[in-house]
Amino acid sequence: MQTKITFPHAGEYYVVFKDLFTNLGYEVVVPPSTSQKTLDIGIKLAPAQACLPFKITLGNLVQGIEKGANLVGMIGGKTGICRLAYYSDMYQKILADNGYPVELLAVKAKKEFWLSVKKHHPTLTLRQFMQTIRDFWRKLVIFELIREKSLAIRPYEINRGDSTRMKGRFLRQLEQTTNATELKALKQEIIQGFAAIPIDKERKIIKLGLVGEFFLLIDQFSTLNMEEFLGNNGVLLKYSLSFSEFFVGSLKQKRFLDNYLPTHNNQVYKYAQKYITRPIGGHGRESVGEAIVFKQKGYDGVIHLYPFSCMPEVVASSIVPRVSADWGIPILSICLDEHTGEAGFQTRLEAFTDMIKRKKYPFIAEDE
Amino acid sequence: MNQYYVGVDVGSVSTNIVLLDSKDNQKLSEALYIRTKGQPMESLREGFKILQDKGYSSEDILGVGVTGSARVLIGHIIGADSIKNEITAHAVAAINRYPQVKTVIEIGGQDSKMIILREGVVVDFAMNTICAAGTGSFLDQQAFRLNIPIEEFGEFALRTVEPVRIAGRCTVFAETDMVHKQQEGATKEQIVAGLCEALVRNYLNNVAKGKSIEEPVLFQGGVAFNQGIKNAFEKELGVQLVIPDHFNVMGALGSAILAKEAIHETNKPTLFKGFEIMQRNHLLKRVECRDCSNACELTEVTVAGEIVAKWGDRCGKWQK
Amino acid sequence: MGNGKNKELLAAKIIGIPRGLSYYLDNFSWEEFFEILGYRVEYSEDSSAETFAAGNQLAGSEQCFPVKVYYGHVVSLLQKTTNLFIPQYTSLEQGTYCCPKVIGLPQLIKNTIPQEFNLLTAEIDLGREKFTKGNILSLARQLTWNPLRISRALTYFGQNSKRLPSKIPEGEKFVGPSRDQGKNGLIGVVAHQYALQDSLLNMGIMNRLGEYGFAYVTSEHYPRPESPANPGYFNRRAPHWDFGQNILHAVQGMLLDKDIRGIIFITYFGCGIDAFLEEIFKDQVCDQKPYLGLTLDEHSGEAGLMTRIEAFLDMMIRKEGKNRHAD
Repeated sequence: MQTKITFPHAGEYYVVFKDLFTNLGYEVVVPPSTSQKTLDIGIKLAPAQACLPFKITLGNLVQGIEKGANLVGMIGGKTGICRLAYYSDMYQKILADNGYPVELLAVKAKKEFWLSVKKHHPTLTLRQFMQTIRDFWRKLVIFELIREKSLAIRPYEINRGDSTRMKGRFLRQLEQTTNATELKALKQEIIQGFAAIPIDKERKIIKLGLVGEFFLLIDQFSTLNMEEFLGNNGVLLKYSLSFSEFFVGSLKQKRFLDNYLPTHNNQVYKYAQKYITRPIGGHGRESVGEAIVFKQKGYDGVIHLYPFSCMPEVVASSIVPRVSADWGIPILSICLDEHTGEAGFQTRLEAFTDMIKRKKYPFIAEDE
Repeated sequence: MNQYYVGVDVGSVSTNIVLLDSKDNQKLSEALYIRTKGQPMESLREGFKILQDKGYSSEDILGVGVTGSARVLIGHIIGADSIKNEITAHAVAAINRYPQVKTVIEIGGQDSKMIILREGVVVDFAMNTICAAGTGSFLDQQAFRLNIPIEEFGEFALRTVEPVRIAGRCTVFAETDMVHKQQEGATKEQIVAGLCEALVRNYLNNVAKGKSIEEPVLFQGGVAFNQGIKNAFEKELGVQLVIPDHFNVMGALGSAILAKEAIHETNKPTLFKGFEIMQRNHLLKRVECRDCSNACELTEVTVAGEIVAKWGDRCGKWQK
Repeated sequence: MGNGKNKELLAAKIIGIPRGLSYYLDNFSWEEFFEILGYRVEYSEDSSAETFAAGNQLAGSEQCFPVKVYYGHVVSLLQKTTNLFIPQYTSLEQGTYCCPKVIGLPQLIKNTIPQEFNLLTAEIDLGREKFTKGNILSLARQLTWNPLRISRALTYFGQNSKRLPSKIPEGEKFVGPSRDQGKNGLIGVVAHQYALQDSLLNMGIMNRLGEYGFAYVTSEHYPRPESPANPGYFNRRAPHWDFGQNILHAVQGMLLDKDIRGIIFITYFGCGIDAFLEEIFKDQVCDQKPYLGLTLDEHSGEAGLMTRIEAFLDMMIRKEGKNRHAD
């Protein structure tokens, strides 16, 4: 039987993962974009107290399986403290119980990944495998460049929507790009493309850092398009974590590597030390440390996002007010679940940005 | 001749409109408080009609600001210069009235807020996220059950010195407990006072948790009318609450000031379409934009078949 | 580790231990450990409604009920002493973890309680013996200079810090309050240790069982099999949480135990671990025995809760009654 693989949509990151699996020799079924329907499936099948990322990804998988997939690519491993480490087992049980018996493929920076792929594709050589991983990595870096550029330009753009359109265009291009030379050219094109967007440099913008649970930081659906909402409101956003760092992070069991890898984990942990001394699962410790790093980099504020019932982040969210007071940086903690309404969510984001903006740029004109 | 900035606060319980004198930030020429009754458009129409009848002309309006839960809808229809959230609006109004204010307690119909300010700048805020137990509708419902007009609720509470303790943070549980206390022989007054304390407890546990409440404390929003609540707050917090003159239209006042700021900043004439705009029949429709894969859900407003406003798109092309 | 205010500590000679969460984790007596070092241990009172009310003012609203109650214990202890010992249990076995809230507990409390206090803590990872021993050593060193006491305390820890043995001797099996089956039968109660032992957290459910003529055994009385990695029965990989393995194994044991008529599972809103666990065993349990899953929090009204328990027990009495006639 031909193995057809599907995987959680994970925002726009699907572009890169689709490529990875295709190059590894799988037939790929990309699940439909995450929608309310996806979430509804997840809510129906998942335990009520499961976290939002689990519900959404489960919905993605079911939609992918309904389109013909029989293999599930699970991003992230089976170790760790938080529930992510048990996701794959839960997927398998719930999917099987509901008439979707599927196999699982754990995608991570470990030897097991190679071994499982090898089982599906015996002819694949290690060399080819490594090349695929390298190509995947290159594409990932370009992907994140596009994302970062659009975030940096959006608050300044004169014609609203320019950077969003530009991002969409480049993502489509990236999807079709296959070889290294083309990628290099695309990179140049991206830099030039975004530079050509007409901007208003004088605009009074503020810089906010985003920390929190990883899935929420990459999935536009669960954060109700916060990225664009804030960008259009004059906020330059920066994510504390990207997928590439997530993968590098999963290598860090080898501690000495920390000094050589392109993450700033050491710094983050150093800052977090006073508040959380050791890993508590997920990115709880990172959320606290990254908030302080943002402060040090001159950001005006931090938004901390976490799903309801996320164990590590609930601990972090309790500690966040102390961090905010100690370091003098405003932090807005927002807990998201399937009941989060767009209105209340946006009101709080807007009030937060207003608060910072009005402090940074006091309104001068008084009575005429 | 006087010119004005209009502030509109369209909330779930009331629709408030103020006219702020363009020359004097302290002078409110009009302050209207209209029950929304689930129909924001209707109540706004009513309000604008009152203003027109009083002789105000659209030409004298220099700018319009909208806040409240229906702000986007109303803002697009009437052509607002500023569409801002309630927290900012309330904070701006509070600073306008009391520049020294350090804490704002605002309890509205469906949500309640706390705003912490230092030296005229918002430094922290919180909103109720869980349920309505710390809001005005909690009192509304219980007043209805007890058959007491909501206006007299506060007085009832003042008539007793021994409130009963009513448990449960949610309206349903509170109701159960209230019935229970009635069976145990508590008087209406004791129960009303108990409800006031329950609301204050809920507010402090949900909204004000971990906030440093410093004086002066401003108490605004429709519920500030209720003496029972004010007393309960003062008892619990040990501070004096200041109730501003226009406590029930502070959101609208704030949005009028925000409109003024917006006009000054952009230096453009107002976008206001005139009081008459509300006399026309607006039709609302949800449509899906099919121009790209985003498939945004748009809200489209038509008047006599002509599209007058459309928003909800991510790319921004419909909002011009 | 602490914050260096050794003089004050040494002078007071009292160490407070909040009775909640990690306090119930193992059978190790910290009291004796600290006595060897020359300190008296002061515990917080039994949980009460006031404990919760005091804790609720400080704990984040998304924290689970047991954590909120724990805050209350801390608050009440701080009136007696400003030296608090909150152990940082990260793992009770190799390859497993405690719940993130328990792991982060000492720092969570330290960074969210406004009052200043001396936090004494030590990371305890029973899967990493040397590491843990080192942490215990530095804890002991903070408390005394006396090498004799330190070495005695360390020895004491080394000998006693074992979890429930993986195999309880045959004769002592099911050492519950009784192995008599009550008038109406034996019920299995499954929950985290702190929930089983704190009657505020379990809302007095166990007492109710007695009133209705049921005896009970709890999940604590089911030791785990020797190989922790394989509960096998539920056809799933063992979860990587200590609490989780314990609960799964207890459920399995109860299902196989013919004397047990029905199973009650107590959990709390926001408990991430239990949300997944229940999903694993629920179908199988429901197929075999009457099952009642209770998700509690501070808003659970006692009346509603008792109605459910009563209904569950009635159902069993009626069912058992029938069966007895049929025999």
